[in-house]
Amino acid sequence: MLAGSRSENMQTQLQKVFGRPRTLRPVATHYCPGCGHGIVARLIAEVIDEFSIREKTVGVAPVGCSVLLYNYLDIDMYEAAHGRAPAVATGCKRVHPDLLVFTYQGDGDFASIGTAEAIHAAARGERITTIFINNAIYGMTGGQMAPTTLIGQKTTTSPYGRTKEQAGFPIRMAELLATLDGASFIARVGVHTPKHIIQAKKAIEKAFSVQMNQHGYSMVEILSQCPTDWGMSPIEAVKWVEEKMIPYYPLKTLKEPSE
Amino acid sequence: MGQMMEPVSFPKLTPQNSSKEWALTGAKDRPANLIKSLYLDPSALEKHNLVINETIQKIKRDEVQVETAQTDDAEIIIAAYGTIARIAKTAIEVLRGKGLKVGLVRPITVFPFPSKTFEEFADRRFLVVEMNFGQMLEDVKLSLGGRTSVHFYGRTGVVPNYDEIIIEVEKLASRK
Repeated sequence: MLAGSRSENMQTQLQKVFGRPRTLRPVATHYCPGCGHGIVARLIAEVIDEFSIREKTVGVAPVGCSVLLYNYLDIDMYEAAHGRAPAVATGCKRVHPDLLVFTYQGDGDFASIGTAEAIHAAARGERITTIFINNAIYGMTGGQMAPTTLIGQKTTTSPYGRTKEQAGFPIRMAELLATLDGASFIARVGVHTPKHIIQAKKAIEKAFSVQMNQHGYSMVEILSQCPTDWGMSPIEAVKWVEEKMIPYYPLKTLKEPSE
Repeated sequence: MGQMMEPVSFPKLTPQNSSKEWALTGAKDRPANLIKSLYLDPSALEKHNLVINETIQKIKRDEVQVETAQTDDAEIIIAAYGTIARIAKTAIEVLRGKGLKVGLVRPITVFPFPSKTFEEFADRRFLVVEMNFGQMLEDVKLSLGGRTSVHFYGRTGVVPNYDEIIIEVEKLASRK
């Protein structure tokens, strides 16, 4: 047995099993080391490719770290005003009912300035999907307290930790929207371990399927780590998601259409 | 539109097919389209702002709408828009009956502002009448560039009666 013939033999057996999704542009992201955004961008791209819907998908990304998604996904995309992505998506979907239309929003956007649009798009049962990145902080603007910031969590605007007396309680958007009849699929997932990333992808697949099957509004809340603004290492940050965020924001499917 | 006091009739709208190369319809057989206004690179941002400014200049050129009434021989011109403009018309009828030469400039668009129309009447005296403390007043003054006197009458919270405008115009006329 010669080494040469062995490697030749191996080469013929090698199959490509992993690569960059067609929909994910071959560029480096601007996201910080350890951030969850880049993982989610890839998951969305994978799902779009697996459903073969790249040519009939439109994304809407409003203000925040989320907005630069348009640099990473090779699909038609709108930038929306802060919080207004569900309104823009509504217009797009109603004019083009055959397109798959999704919004990609952070917590400062979706749970604060855009709460009205979020709730009413869900209440109307718009056939759009929201991918909601909840990292419990305003990332792009420099780590300010968000509506989803946990009690006791330190941010630049709650330097001694958020108190319920001063800032009230964190909003659970998934639970809130699940009460609305127009919402068809609502789930909360994480991207802090490989297992959770696989579950997150399944939730995105489900949300897109719900939209394509003409059900109502669908939303996937994704707990995402923000090491930079949390003042942690990436390893500490994924632990913090598990130990602090999940107890307050339990991972589950809150609502799905009965098939 | 929910606060319109005058009736509005819309033409019947029919769906139109328009194929615009920038439209977001799914990136089929073409590169992906992107509609955005965020430019993090300063020189790209300025380039974008210049394009927007060109559009604004085009709007200023092409989209001005204004109504003038009885301005030919008018010595005093009332400038008013909206509800108060209709009331001003009644006041002008009464004042004309009394022999006072009064006309009206009614901006239909306040942006773009019909500055050129005001400039044409820079040799008349102006009374700006508004249902606020003078939101259009500065635009009128800017258009006239200090070449003539501009007076103001404003009411807030109530819709003034035409006789109030008549009193104001008569005061102005007597100050000749």
